[in-house]
Amino acid sequence: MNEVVDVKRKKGVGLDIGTMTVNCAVMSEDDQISIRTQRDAFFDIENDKFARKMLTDNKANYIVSDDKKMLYVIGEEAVNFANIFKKEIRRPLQKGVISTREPEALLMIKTIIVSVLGKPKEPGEICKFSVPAAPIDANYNVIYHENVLKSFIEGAGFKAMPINEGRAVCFSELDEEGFTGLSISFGAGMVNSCLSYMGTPALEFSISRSGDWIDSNSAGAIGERTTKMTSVKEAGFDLLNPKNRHEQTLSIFYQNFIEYVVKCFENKLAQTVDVPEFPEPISIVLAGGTSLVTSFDKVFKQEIEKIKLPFKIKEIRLAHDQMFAVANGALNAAVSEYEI
Amino acid sequence: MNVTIGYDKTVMGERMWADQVKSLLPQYVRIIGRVIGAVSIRDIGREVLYNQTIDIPASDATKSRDLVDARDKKWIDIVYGGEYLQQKAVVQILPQQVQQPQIAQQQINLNDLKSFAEQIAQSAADKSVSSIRDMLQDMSKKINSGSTLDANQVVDELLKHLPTQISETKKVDDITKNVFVNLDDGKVLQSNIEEGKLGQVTIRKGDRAKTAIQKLKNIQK
Repeated sequence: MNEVVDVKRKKGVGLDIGTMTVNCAVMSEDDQISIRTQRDAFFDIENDKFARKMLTDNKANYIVSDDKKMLYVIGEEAVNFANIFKKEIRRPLQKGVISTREPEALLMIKTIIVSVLGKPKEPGEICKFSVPAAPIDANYNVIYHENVLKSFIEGAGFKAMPINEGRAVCFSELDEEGFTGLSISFGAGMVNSCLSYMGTPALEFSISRSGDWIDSNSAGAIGERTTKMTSVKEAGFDLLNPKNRHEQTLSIFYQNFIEYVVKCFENKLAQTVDVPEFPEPISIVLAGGTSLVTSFDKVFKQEIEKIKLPFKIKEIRLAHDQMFAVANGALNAAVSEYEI
Repeated sequence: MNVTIGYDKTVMGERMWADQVKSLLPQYVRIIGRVIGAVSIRDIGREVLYNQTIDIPASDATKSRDLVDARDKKWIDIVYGGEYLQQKAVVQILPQQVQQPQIAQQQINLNDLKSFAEQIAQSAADKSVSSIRDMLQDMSKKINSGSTLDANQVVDELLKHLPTQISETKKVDDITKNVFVNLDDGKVLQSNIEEGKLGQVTIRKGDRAKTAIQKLKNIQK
């Protein structure tokens, strides 16, 4: 693990605020990209002197609750605690937006964002932060979520500018195609996609099920905890070659999920009247933590070949950096706002 | 007396035979699919799958605009018989008369076009006139070339039926700015976290990013 301390950097920050992780990307003067990642999860334990000492000695980060009665352990340590105590982790974001079930979600996410972002290089430094598009298969909007995040980022001294998550992936991965193609981010809470032509988005939408849906349904199917299934998934397995009961269940729900996503694409694109007529076949890029599982692209390709799309496909490929594609794209957008 | 059927006569005969033999060989165009999925050549009702070949009678191939379109867009490649597509018509050498396919004259009903234009105008009320013109010009390209109507005439006719005042598209950023409400009350929770130090750091080379940023700047200019 490398620490970036007092390295001169270019102006502009990319911030990916996801349901599972918050990623903050900056670029140094010698063009290296530094990405700070924090898991967007917490686990509550009672606040006492012993607990605080134990956490600090083990370099675990915690936040004190508003009423001072509880400590919220955040990040990877939260997942470890949850697995040890056989409980579920709690998250300030659900399905891509601020959770309505968590009373302290706003303060939690604010603390995490500010702690990851740090101070701006100059007052009003541009921070491009990711926001989801409105979902096509659920009845909630993202306006409040965007507004809240903008408030917190501007409170930290930045100029906050939203960027659609799918579009951020386009800016990160489709530069060689002139920012033309279909970019899809498979996050934990949502799937965000953007159909672009020369950097201009023609269509942006999201689907309200993704990694969390796979984890919770797999867990329910075999009577396991969701956090446990998340750990099994993140340890890595092959969708087309599962080795045990947990992996087999995950594989079944993964394949169902991909089939659902592709069907949503087909329906949405069939209903849309202003899909651009691309002069040549386009690329499809897959990004996001949920796409990290082995053979994800193969299964996606199998499903997409079954449907009709209003454009031809040149290739389907994984992003160069699936986990950080959104943060990288937001960073590219932020730095490009300044003179190089 | 030996009568030799002279070689010259045989050559002439061969020449005649060659033409007749040629006429017995099927004239076809072989194409191969080059994009994932299936390419439909709609005007002749054929479909070719990715990396698969199909044979199309030359008579069908020469009259198909969709085939030429697909070739130009690199969705298919011509494996054999490309020369037929260069010719305007296939030369039929068969002794019997072959009925040439009739190219149907497409009569465009202006009333239908007017109704369609009204529908477009309704759904395109927020778009600029230039984008509607582009849309209509694309539509006009799809009109069969056998039509007696000039594409420009069609576009001009349709534009007469569009509303004259169409509002400008609003920028999304401006809308967001108008409804922005600051929800940050300045409250901060206590923690043991140092500002800007939370999380693990990953370093990546930024060569691709540098190129992408330059391209983004060029687009924004």
